[in-house]
Amino acid sequence: MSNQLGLEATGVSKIFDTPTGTLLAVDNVSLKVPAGEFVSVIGPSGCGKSTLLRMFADLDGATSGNLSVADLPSNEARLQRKYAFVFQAPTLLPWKSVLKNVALPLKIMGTGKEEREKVAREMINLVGLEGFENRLPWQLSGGMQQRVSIARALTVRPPVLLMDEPFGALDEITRDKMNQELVNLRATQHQTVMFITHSIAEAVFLSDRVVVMSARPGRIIADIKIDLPEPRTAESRLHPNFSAHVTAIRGFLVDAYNAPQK
Amino acid sequence: MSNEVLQASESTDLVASRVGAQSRLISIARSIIRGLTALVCVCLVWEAIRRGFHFSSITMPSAWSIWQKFFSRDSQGELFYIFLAKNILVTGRGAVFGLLLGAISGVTIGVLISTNRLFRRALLPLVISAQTVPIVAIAPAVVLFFGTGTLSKTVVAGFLTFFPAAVTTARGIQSVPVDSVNLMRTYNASWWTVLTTVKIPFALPLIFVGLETSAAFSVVGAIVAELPFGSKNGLGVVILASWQFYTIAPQSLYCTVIGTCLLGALIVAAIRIAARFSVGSRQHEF
Repeated sequence: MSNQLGLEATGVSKIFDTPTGTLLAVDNVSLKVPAGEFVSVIGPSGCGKSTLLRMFADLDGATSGNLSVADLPSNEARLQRKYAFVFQAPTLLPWKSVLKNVALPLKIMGTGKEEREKVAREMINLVGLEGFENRLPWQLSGGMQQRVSIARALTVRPPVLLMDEPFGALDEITRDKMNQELVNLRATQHQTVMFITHSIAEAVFLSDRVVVMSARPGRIIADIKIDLPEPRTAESRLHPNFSAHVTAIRGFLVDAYNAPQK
Repeated sequence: MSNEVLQASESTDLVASRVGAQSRLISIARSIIRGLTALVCVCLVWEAIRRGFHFSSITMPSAWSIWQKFFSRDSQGELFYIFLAKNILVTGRGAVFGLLLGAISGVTIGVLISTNRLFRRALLPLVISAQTVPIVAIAPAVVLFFGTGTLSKTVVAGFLTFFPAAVTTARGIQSVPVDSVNLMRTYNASWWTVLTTVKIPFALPLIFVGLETSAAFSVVGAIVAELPFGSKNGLGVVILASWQFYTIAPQSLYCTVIGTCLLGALIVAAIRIAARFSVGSRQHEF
């Protein structure tokens, strides 16, 4: 196991300037995620977890503190494309087919047409959408669109995946299926993943570790190692540790919600 | 998804396209019939007002006399509608070139205004005040500068058309979903790539709406440029000539107006077709 860190945050804070004054969104957060680990971040709405993720992605700058992705400062990591970001909404380009949407990052990086379509088809098959290459986004359901979004994220084979509630808009059964697919995808490529979610069960199922954040200003109030057998399957949800972890995390979340907000 | 469901949806696509071709012809036929019916209704209302208020045939000529005028021959034996068509082409050339000029400069300015704060502060006041300049006042200056040919028509038409194009482009680019732009940032895409891959394509439906507005202005602009200093050809010239005969035979003015409307409608239709061609696949509701 190398010393490489998948993600690291050191003393990170974020202050927003709003018309009504300054807003402390993230308060002195430090986090170390070893390479290959899957960490979920869960917390009350508005607690700064999305902000933290966006700071890792260099989509927002930190007011203080340092963030690194794959052992590079976050802005370097963005320039060198060390991560892929999956948004809450599929953010597909509505005028491009599924194939062209999935091949988009490779096109921007300058990969030739044949090569990038080959990789795109591979990823489309991987997420179970073979046969849909020439469909347009409006012809697909929400779950399928999100699968396209994930296929697109995987085409550059990034060492790090940053995912902001990607399955939040999906129904329960589709969500469970997508969770299983994500687990299966990682089995071969072992990306480092930071995953934001509101679902405790989803967090426990997917992760090696679950981090709970307090209400705004966001601080880490719990960091729980998930003790479940690998590989995760539908049976994992029936394991006794599963409900124990869910109960423990729920306890922390209730505290987070009840704590006084600034 | 299973193969059977995939095959089922493919065969419905084939059926849909065959039915689609038939229903397209039917819908074209329907809209032609609707247009003709509307025309007849307008004529009936016209006649009703004319007879009801007892307007003289100079103030308000009968619809039939206007229709007849199209088929009358002048001193050289040329049919009026042929004469009109030639002038429509002359004016139309200026209108179309003006529309292209206005569209290109408008879209460029719209892009600059919406992507760069410095440009917005510098250009927006100029754009807005340019719009309030009375075009009839500056047209003679333009004709003095550029002559009486297609160029001055293009300039005046372009001047009128660039504002809707600029404003709708700026609005369209501002309405691009933020996360689509953020997605491009995660790929470290250049500002040009972001502009051409995401921003302009998202803004295209709105830009086409602006161009439809511009289309009407382009015809007006081209005609206004023909009014000063005696151009030889064009709808503006025909209108000037019609004014001279208006107290004797007003029909030619009405015919010319109808011809002008036709030109405008053709240009708007061309833009709609271009719009359907480029953004039609997106299933936008317009």
